[in-house]
Amino acid sequence: MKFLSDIEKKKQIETEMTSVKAYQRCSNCVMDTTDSKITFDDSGICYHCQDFYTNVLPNWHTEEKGSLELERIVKRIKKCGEGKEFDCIMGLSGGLDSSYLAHLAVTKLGLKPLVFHVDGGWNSQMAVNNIEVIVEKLGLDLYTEVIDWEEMKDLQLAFFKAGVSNLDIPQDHAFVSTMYHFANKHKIRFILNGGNYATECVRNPLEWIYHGTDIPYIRDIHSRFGTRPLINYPLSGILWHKIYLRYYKKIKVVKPLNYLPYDKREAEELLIREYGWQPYPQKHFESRFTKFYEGYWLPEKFGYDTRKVQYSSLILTKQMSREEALERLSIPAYDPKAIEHEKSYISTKLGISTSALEAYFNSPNKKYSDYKNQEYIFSIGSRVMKWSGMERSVKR
Amino acid sequence: MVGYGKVREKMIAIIDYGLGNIRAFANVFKRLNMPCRIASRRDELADAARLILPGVGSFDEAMRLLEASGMRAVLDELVLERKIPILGICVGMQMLADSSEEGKSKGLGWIPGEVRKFDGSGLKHKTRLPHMGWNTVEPLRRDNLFRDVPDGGRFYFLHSYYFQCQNPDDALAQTEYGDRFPAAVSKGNVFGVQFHPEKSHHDGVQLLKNFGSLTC
Repeated sequence: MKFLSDIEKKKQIETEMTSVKAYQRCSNCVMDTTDSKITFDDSGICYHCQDFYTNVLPNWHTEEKGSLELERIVKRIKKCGEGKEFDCIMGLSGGLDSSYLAHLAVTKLGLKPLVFHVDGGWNSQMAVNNIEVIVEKLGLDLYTEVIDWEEMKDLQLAFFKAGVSNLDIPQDHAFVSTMYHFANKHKIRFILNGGNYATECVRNPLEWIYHGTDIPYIRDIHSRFGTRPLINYPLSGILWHKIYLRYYKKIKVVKPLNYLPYDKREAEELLIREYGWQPYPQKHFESRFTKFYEGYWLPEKFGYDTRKVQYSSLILTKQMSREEALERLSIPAYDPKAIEHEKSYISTKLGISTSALEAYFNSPNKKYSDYKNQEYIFSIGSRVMKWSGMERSVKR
Repeated sequence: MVGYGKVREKMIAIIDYGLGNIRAFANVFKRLNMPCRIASRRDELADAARLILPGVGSFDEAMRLLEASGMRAVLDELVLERKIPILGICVGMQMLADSSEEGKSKGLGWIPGEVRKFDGSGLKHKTRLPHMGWNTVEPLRRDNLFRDVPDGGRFYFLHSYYFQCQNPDDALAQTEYGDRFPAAVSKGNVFGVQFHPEKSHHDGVQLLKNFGSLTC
C-alpha cells in the first residue's frame, strides 16, 4: 500500500472542508477555515484576532506594570523557598521557551529552580545539546525522568491506531504529569512555565490538538488499542492537578515570560551567543516525534498546519509580517526530500514496518469525540478561567 | 567467588554522600521487597551486605564529596577486605577507576582503568555529547548481573565520559555509541554500570534485583 499522493490527500481534505463551508482566511492573521470553528466579522477578521485584541492585549503588560508584578511574584517565591534547596520547579525540553526561561529564572530573577527533563525517548540531538549547555552554564543539577519506553511506544501506537489527530498526547501528558508529580513530591509550591502570549497567544483549535490531560480519553484509546498495561507511565488527571494541587496543596503556576518583553528572535540570538544553544527550524521540533507529527502527519493527513497558529501568534505580537507568514506557509513544513527517511526512522523506532505506518496514514480520520472523553469538564473549567481572568486565551 | 543465590534478607546500603538519585534506588528495592537503607554515616554501613554507589555530575566533585563524607575508610575495608559486592552507577562507576580525564582527583582504583571523554573525530559515526537516551547493552559475560536481562536489553544513559578498562576482561557488557565502550565492568566483587538502572524501568529493575541477589 502506498501513501496517497500529497495532491490526492489535499484534494480529499479540501473537499471535506468545502462541503462544510467555503474557504476563507483571516485578513489580519493567517488562520483559516481549516479551523472548522473559526468565525469572521464583517471585515474578515477572525475570532482568534478579536479574542486577542479584546481579552489578551488589554491585560498583558510587559512594561513597568508587568515587571513590578513579576518582582512581587518573585519576592513571594523567594520568601516561600527561604532556606530550601529549591524555591520553584521547571521543565526543560531544550526548546526555546523553556531554555530562555531557565536563563531568565537563574540569571535575572535569582531563583533556585529544580530543573527537570522528561525523556519520552524522542529527544533530537539539538534538544540534548541545548539541555546540556543550559544546565552546564547555569550550574544546575538536572533531574531526568525517563518514561518507560515499552509503555510509551505502545501508547503512541494506540493513538496511531485510533486515527485521532492528536498523536502527541502520550508525550504531552507525560511531560505535564511528571511536572505536577515532581512539584508535589518535592513539596515545591511554584511551577515556572514557559507558556507565553508572545509566541502562543493563538491556541491550537481543540479539533486539531485535543487536551493532553483527559484521562478517560487516554484510557479509552489505550484500552481499545494498547497491548500492555500502563504501569510506569505517569498519569495526572485534570481534577487532581487543577483542583487538588492548586487549591488544596496551593501549588501555583507562574508564567514569567508574560511579564516581560519576549521576542523570539532576540531570545534565540541571546541563547546562541551566550550558551552555544542550537536553534531548530520550527516550534516543538526539539522532539523527533513532534517534528514528524506536526510537520508531516497533522498537515498531510488532517489538513491541520500548526504553523498557522504559531505564525498568527507572531503576527499579532508584531514579530512577523503576514506576508512573511504566507510565504513560509507556501512550502510544506517538512522536507520532501527527507520524508522517506523520516518515515522509516519513526516506524523503526516504534517497532512497526513502514507499510504499517502508511496504513495508519491512509485509514479514516477520527475525531476526539469518537472516544470517551471529559471535554465538558475542560470546557466548564476554561469558561471559569476566562471569566475569572486566570487565563486570557483558551482553547476551543 | 561471586555467584547467584536466593538469599534475600541481605541489607543493601545505598551510599549517600550528597550525589545521585538515592531515593530512586530505595524505591526500586522497596518494590522488590529487598531490605535497603540509605547510608550517610560510617555506622550505617556496618551491617551492609551490598553497596550501591550512585553518582552524577563531575568526577572531582564526586570524589571530593565521598572523601568528605567520612565513609571512605569503611568502604575500603568492606570492599577490599570483606569483599562485599558494590555496584557503582554512572559517575559512581567511573569513580571505581584509577583516574579520569575529566578531573585531577585520584579515583578509588578498585578496577584498573582510566575514564576518558568520547572522541568523535576518528569514528565512523559522528558522536555528539552527551550520550543521552536509551541504548542497547550487549552483555559479554552472561553470569550474575545480566541474568534474565534479554539480549539487547535497553538501558538509559546520560554521560560524556566512559570507562576504559586496563584489562579487557574486566568489561562485563558493551554498548555502541560511535564506537563500542564498556557499559558495565566487574572485577571480583566490584561492579560498575555506566547507564542508570534506576531510570531504565524493566531491564534496570531486573539488573538491580540480580545485584541484590548475588551471593559471594
